[in-house]
Amino acid sequence: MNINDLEKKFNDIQKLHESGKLTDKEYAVLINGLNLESAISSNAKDLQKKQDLYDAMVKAAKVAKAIL
Amino acid sequence: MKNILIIISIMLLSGCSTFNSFLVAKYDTNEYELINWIRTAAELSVETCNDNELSKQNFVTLYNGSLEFKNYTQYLRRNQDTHELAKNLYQLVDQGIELYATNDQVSQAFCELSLEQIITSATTIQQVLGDKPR
Repeated sequence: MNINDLEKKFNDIQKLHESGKLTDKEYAVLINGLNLESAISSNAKDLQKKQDLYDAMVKAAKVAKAIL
Repeated sequence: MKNILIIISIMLLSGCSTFNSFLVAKYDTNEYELINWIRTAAELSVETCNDNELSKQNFVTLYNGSLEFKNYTQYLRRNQDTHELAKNLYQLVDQGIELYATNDQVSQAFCELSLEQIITSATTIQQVLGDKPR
């Protein structure tokens, strides 16, 4: 989730709260949910990087083994 | 010659420890199935957000699924990153069910937005789990 997605989602929640379609409690839960969603996005990117690095290292190890 | 072998051995051992620190859990069919189930259940639940009682029941179902996913990922080898993702998703569902448990009437807007957060997060997790090494 990039900063633009986050901003749009935050604005949507904000507008619905201001128009009375969300109660204060619902608003608070959704804002916290936005933080969790953002954390999931960030942690998933880290895991993806780790997996990509693992793939690259496995390939490199195979090449090294073939050379040796 | 002996010195050369020692140096090569040290280099290989050093390489192995670096390599091991980046080891990640392999692809797990059950793990992938669980996250796919949560995402699909959330997508289907959006259609009935106008029905408060049904939505409450849908959140209970999602809660059970996310708890199972969190528990399943916990003790798999080298799976700490996935377990952290599962814990965050569980919290996301848990706060929704908490709201339904403490309020007689929950708005349709909340239901839709909360499910949207769950769907987006489950999809993000599904993408990264699907790309785990085979």
